[in-house]
Amino acid sequence: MNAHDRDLAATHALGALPPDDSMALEEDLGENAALASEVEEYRSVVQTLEGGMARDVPPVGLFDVVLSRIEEERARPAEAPAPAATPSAPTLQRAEPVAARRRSLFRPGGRRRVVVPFAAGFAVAVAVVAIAVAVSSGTGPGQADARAAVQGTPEFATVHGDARLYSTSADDGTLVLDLDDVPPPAAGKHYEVWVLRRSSGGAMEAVGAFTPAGSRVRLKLALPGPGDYEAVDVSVEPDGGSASHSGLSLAGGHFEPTA
Amino acid sequence: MPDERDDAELVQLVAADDTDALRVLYERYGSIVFGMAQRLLGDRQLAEECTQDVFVALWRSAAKYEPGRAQVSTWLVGIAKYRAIDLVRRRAARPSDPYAEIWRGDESPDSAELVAAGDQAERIAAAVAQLPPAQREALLLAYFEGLSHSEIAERLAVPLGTIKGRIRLALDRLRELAPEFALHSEAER
Repeated sequence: MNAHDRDLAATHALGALPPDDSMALEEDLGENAALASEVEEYRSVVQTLEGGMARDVPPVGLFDVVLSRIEEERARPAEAPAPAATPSAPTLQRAEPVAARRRSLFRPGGRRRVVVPFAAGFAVAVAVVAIAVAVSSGTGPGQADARAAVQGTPEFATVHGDARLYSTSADDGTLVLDLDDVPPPAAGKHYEVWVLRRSSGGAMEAVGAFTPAGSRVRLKLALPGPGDYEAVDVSVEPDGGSASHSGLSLAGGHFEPTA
Repeated sequence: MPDERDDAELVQLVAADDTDALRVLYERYGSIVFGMAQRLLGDRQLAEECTQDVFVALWRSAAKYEPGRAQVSTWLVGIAKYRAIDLVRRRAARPSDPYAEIWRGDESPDSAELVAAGDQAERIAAAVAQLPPAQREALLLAYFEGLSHSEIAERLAVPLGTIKGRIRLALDRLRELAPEFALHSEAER
């Protein structure tokens, strides 16, 4: 078989021959076993492509949307005052008031969205640092009841940390969440922390929202009540969005009882 | 005129916030990413979202790219696979327990199939991305845009015979790459 025929076979198998040429070639295949075999070989390659990539072109203007999103991200740091904490220090954020947070995933009613501006963070941080240090030094709630290794979802694979539960049988139980390598949320988004109790029928409960002022985050949050907690999840939420989990998770993990 | 700069050089420029360089990479790989996303997601709108996410992620993470670890094309289709799988899982399980599919996903049969499909799509896309630029361009214009060889020749201002040759060489190369990338046609699976 010469190069011209092989070119023809490949172009035909890919569907790149004009219809008339394609029909003429199909007629020839019955009398030319070598050419037919060559076409079949190339068709199997094209089938392989079809198994992994749909034959469809991205819409015109899609890249402009990408640029718009980038513009939004570029604009964001300019709008925010500089973080109060040093980059190496854990960055602490204030969450929403507990009463506002105690809403089940499917419970109707708007959830108040309070995203703490970075500038307000420092004054809050001082108080929260004291609590966080107390927890880690053993003079706070005491021994953790359960602990979860927290790992980022595939999209946020670098995020990692852990979560600890204290006093889960009491009304004033707490969750301490430490995260590292947390990316800044996209423009108009913030993060929200959720927990799941075995008694909740699968409904997650929001326990606090935050916008990180750095890549390290440490939060101490009030639990919604006594219970057997299964898991923690950090979601990405639109500012002013609905009370439901957005379905997009930053990170999460399952609790294991501590010894 | 096709841009002659190599991918790694373009990523360096993207890291310096050069969106023209990002556009060149989009023109090279956008259709591969989109086609892969659409195959995995089966939904054009989600595939668009996935493609956007991949190129925003490229812009965001360009400074972290290490040329010694992976080719840009491999890196991009890897991001696309994970993003598409994430979108599929999220769509499949809107949840009373949204993280369940994410955190227990690997234990469910559906997820295993999804990951396998994602791996296959990633290998195919990566193999296509490895083709010499001229071959890849001819192949993708025919494959994604459905152009005939004469339309491609006109679009690229090269002789018709050259286009047919490039298409044949591209398919030959993919056939050669099949063992390396563990590619199988639908009929073989």
